[in-house]
Amino acid sequence: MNLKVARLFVLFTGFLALCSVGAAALLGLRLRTDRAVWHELQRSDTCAQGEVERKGDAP
Amino acid sequence: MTGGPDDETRRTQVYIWTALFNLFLALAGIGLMLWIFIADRGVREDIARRRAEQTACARRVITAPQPMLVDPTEAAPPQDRPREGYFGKQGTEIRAALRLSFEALRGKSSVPVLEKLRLGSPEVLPEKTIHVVNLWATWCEPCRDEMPDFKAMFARRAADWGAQVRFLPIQVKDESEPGKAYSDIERIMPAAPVKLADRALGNPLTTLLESDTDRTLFKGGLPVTLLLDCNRRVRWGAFKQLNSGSLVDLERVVDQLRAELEDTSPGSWCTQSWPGNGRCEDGENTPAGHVLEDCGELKRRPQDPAVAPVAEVVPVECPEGSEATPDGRCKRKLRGNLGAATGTPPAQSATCGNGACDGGETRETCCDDCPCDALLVCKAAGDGHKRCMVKGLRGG
Repeated sequence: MNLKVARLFVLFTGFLALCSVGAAALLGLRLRTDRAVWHELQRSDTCAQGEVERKGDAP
Repeated sequence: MTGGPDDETRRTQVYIWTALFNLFLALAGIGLMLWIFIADRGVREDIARRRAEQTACARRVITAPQPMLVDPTEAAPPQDRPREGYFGKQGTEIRAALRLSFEALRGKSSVPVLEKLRLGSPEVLPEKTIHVVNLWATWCEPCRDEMPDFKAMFARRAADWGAQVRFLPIQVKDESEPGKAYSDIERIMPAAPVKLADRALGNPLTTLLESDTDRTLFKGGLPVTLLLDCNRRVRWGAFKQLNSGSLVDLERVVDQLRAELEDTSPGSWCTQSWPGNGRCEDGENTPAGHVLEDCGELKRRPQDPAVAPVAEVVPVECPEGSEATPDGRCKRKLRGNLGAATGTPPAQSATCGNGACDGGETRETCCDDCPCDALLVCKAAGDGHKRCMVKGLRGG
C-alpha cells in the first residue's frame, strides 16, 4: 500500500468514526429525554388531565 | 531534504495504524449507536403503552368534588385493642391510613425514582400478602440497630416465605431526602420492593395512628413494627426496638398468618368480604359502593360505555335583534333596522328625542332615546330617519 492510499484510508476511517460517535451521542441524548418522559409518566398515578370528569355533588 | 523509502514505509505504517484505530472507533460508535437505538425503542414502547393505559382508564366518574367515601354497606368484623405483641384474631384496621399518599421509592434506591403512592394502593400493599411494616427515621439509632435482625430473619426464611411476606419500611418524622436515607440503610435492611417516606407537614401517618385513643398504634417513639395480615389488619405490633424474644414471636405470628392466607375454604378469614380488607370486591368499584382504600380512585373501565355528550340546546325562537341561521343558532343582525330591509321604515314616535325610552318606543322607532345593540350606533339613514346601523356604514 502506498502512502497516498494510506492517507486516504485514514481520512475515510476518521470521518466514519466521527460520524458514528456523533450519531451515538445524539441517540444517547434522545434516550435520556425519553427516559425522563417515562419517569414522569410513571410518577403520574392519576389519569390524564382533561379526561377527568366531575358531575357535581355526591349522591 | 526528502525521506528515503524507509521513511515512506514508516509513514505508511503510521497511517495504517491510525486508520485501524479510526476503524475501531467507528465500529465502537456503531455498536453503541445500535445498543442505544434498541434501548430507546424499548423505552418508547413503554411510553406508548403507558399513554394508552392512561387514555383507556382515564374517565373518572367520581361524582363528588373530593374522592368519595361511601358508608360501608357490609359490616367489618370487630377489632381488637392493640397492645404490645399479639393483637388477637380480628386485629386492628388502619383504613384511614390506607388513604394517605406518601413519597415512594421503587426498586433499588441507587437509581431513585420518587413517586407518590397511596399506602392502600396494590403497588404498596398487594393482596394475598403479609406485610411487616416498619416505621423508622434516620436519626433513630434503635431503628438502625434492629434492621440487621430483620434482614437476617427475612434471609433465613426467604425460601418458605417467598413473595408471601413483604417488608415495608416507612420513613416518618424525618425530613431527610428519602433516596439518600434509603441508600444509606439499604445494605442492612431486608429487600423491600417499595420504600415509603412520610415527610408531609404534620406527619399525617403518625398523627393518624396515635390520634385514636382507643386503638393507638403509635405511642410517640420509634421504631414501630406492625404486622399486617391478608385483610390489612394489624395483628401484631412492637413499639420499641425488637429483641430476640419479640423477633421469635413475630416470626411465629407471620407463620400463623401465612397459614390463614393459604386457607381458602369458604368463610375463612382471608376470603371474607368487607370494605377496607384490601381486596376490591363486587360493588366496591361502583359509584354507589365505592371503597377508596380497596379499589383506589374510581375509574371507568375501558369496556364501560362512554358518557353521552350533553345535547346542545338549539333555540326555537331567537331574541329581538337576532335571526336564526340554517344550523339552528341565533345570529345578531348587523343591520339595525328590519324596516330598512323591507323598504318600509317604521313610523317615528311623537315623543322621540325627549331622552327617555318611553312606552311604545323601541330602538327601531327611536334610537335617539332607546339605545342600540352593541356594535351599532344611532345615525341618520338616507330617508331622514335615524336608525341603528353599523358604525361606519353609510345610511340609505
